[in-house]
Amino acid sequence: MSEPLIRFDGVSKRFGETWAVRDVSLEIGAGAFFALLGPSGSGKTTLMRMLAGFETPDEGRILLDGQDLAGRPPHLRPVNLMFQSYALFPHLTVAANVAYGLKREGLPKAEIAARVEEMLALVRLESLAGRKPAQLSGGERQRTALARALARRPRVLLLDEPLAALDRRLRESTRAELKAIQARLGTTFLLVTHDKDEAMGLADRIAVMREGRIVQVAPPQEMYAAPADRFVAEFLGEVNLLQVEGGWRAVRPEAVRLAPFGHAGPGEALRGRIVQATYLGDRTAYVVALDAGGELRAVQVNGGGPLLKVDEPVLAGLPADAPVLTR
Amino acid sequence: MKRPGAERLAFAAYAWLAVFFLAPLALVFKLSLSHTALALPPYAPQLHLGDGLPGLLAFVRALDFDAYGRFVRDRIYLDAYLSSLGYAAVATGVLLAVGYPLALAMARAPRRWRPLLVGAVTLPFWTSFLIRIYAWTAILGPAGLLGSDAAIYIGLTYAYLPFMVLPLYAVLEREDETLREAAADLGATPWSAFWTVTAPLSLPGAAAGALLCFIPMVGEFVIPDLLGGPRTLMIGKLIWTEFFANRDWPAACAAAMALVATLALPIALYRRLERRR
Repeated sequence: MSEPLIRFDGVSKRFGETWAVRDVSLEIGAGAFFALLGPSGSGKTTLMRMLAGFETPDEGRILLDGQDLAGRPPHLRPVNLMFQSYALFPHLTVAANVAYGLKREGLPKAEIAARVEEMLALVRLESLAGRKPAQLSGGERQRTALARALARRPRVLLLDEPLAALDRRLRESTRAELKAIQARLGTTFLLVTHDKDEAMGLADRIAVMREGRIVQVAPPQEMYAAPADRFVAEFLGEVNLLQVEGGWRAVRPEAVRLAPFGHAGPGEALRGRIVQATYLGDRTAYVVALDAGGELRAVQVNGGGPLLKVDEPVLAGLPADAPVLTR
Repeated sequence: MKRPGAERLAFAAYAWLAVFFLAPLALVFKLSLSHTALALPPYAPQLHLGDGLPGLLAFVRALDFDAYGRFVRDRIYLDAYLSSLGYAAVATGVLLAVGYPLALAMARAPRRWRPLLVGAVTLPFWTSFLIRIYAWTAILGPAGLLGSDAAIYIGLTYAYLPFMVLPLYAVLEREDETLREAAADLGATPWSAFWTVTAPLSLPGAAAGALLCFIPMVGEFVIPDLLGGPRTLMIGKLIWTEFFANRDWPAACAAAMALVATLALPIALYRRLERRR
């Protein structure tokens, strides 16, 4: 791997008595769609704000293109941030918001106009160029913020919970759009989120943070299949943690295969009884009380076969490759 | 939008305005249409409701706009208006220049200090206005400034500073900090972020502060009377002289009506500005 675009090198940041970020070292390659994922207070936002220049690390270095960013104020960093609240200038039109950063650069008027047009086309807002932010819908505001942050052609685009303020249906289409725009521009995107769906659906690499530290860095699939510890396993989705010798066996509910008693297939299976069945249309979520004690959650795709009923005795087949976690 | 009780509340406000503002204004207007007379009160005609309709008609016929004629005949009125507007305009500019940085510093101060700072700005109100202005004579006298234009500007700026600072502080304190961060993120230096984001967004506060100061300053009487010299020409002083020295009530009332008409203009402008936003 060549020199990474961004390098956090032993970065720490303290607010009063608490460490917001503790000794974080992380490398992000050029062109990546990288996600910092963690619950609130995990330090992900502070880490991003240090890259943007709004916070100063107490320890460690942040390098961009091999250059130490220490002492460089936000307005001199080739990094742009799409704020969670969008932070659009309420007194400026959509076009003027997008042009704001270009004007600060002192570009010639014609070039600014051309770039604004290009950006508005990118986010499909050409027809709303003359509107003020207050006259826009939530999705339109989000796209304005994206166009404004991309207009300066930053080396890195930082996205602070970009989909959090949108309603669910809009979130799906916006996610696809964001991914398409990133692929088209090839700009490095750094996403900060507490929503695992957002991180997994957008990023090609995820760093999970907890209490100021990075727990694991991996592509989404790999992290989901082989979490570093119970925290990551549970943060990425539902999981059964079965105590075994030396740790916990992490079994995802959708990896469990339920069968009526007596129909066991090959492989390991546990005996139990259905205690809860929640029909969800495309799938059904079951809770199985194991004969050996404890409960097991299982999700089955509804493929036309008969559904299992409460109280029905079942065999729960476990995948052979379920990882054993030691922490 | 409408809540039960809102209409009653609005009615109360309008009733208050009608009783304490419109009725006295109507009275002043009526007085401005009368003539001076050697009587008590010193004007004619006087309305006696006991005379019935013929009495009322005779009263109305005796009213005219003679008192307003002096604005044309006597240049001193026009000069006094212009000079009052001039004093008020310059003082408003000084107040903006002094008050804006003060309000900005207050709004950017640590949150727990702010109530204290607001308290400090309003602290002078705990002492009588008259006494505070009188106290300035003791400061300006030894400095050799008493009676000069500078003394009037100092007095006006001192007395009206809270009215400029408080509306400005109200808008600046509400400013979304992330907007400034967004400006910095997009390449704006702190200076340029101020002029492109903070200043335009605080315009309503500046307009409110300017109006709150400008309007009463045009009609100000105490400050030019105590701090100004014999040649200080301000309309407030002129009205006082007409009332109490010349006992010409109609002339004083006509001058006051003209003042109201003059000041309605900036208010109307402000309202238009408000509606456009």
